[in-house]
Amino acid sequence: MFRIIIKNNKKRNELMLNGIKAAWPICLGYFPLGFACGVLAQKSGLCPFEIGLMSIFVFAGSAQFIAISMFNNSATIFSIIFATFIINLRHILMSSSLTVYLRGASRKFLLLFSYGVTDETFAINLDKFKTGTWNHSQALTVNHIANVVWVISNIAGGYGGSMIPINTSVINYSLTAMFISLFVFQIKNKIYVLAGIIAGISSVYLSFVFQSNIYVIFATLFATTIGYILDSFRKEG
Amino acid sequence: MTQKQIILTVFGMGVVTYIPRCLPFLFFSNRKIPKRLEKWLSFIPISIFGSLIFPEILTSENILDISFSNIKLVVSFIVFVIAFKTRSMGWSIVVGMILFWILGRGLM
Repeated sequence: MFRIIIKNNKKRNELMLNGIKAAWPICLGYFPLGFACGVLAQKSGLCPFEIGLMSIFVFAGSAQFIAISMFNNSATIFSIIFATFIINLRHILMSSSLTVYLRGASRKFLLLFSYGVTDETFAINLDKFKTGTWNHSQALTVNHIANVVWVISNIAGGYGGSMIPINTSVINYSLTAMFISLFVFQIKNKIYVLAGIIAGISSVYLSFVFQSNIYVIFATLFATTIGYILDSFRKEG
Repeated sequence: MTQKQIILTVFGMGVVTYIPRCLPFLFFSNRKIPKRLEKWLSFIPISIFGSLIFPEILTSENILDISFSNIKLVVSFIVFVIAFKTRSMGWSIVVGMILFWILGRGLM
């Protein structure tokens, strides 16, 4: 029996390790980004406690950046919360496409898992689920690691930010580079490429129309539907 | 803002962020997803990334900039090729950040 426990532990460790391995690109992007987020938050008058609280409650990069700039411009509580809602609404699409892979999971698991759905964890988990070797607990490990790195880097930025000069545009670029590689990994056939490009072009156009980044949702819904229609035409033809 | 107001704001931000994240899971956990919907959902990821990337690399301050002087665009093209060839997210990010940093310095 003892041996079985050891064996189980070993297997669990292996699974954990796979989760950690998968999460490292996220950490690479999150640490500098979270640090920058903490620095900016500190500069707009938030203390490390509030910064930590925000990164735990919200756990979403772009929304936190925008909220911090709104704190700085003394926006109202309602407008900050509303902006956050609009910016993070895109997660509803990500969770929707992950449901396919998390069927059969308990309600408790889903409530915990959904907390950690971000652009980055979504992309990594989706990619891994597609290869077929991924299980629920590995996916949750990725979420947790990303979350821990995010919170620590935010608080670290809140404490040490004023001393270290940071180039925010380079740090922000890490996110873009991550999205580009994720875009590449999603390519299954020509229709998917086309959907991605349609999304991009319509998103550029809509970004001139809308002030907030709600254009991401409209562009995504539009391109997804076009992709779906093209795909069903191909099957019939 | 007082600390109380800040904490209230942060809490509110958390609630409105969490709800869209968990609703789809709760809705679909005891329902079967129709095949057609599943197909439709499969186009979401690439569309999301497309709509996040394009405005970021093609526009600056609400102006469309498609030229070689747009460092972000040039670097992004290289990152695209690296990601395609290596299938490694880590390398794509590292090379992208270094290139962006070097080219950004060179032109400033």
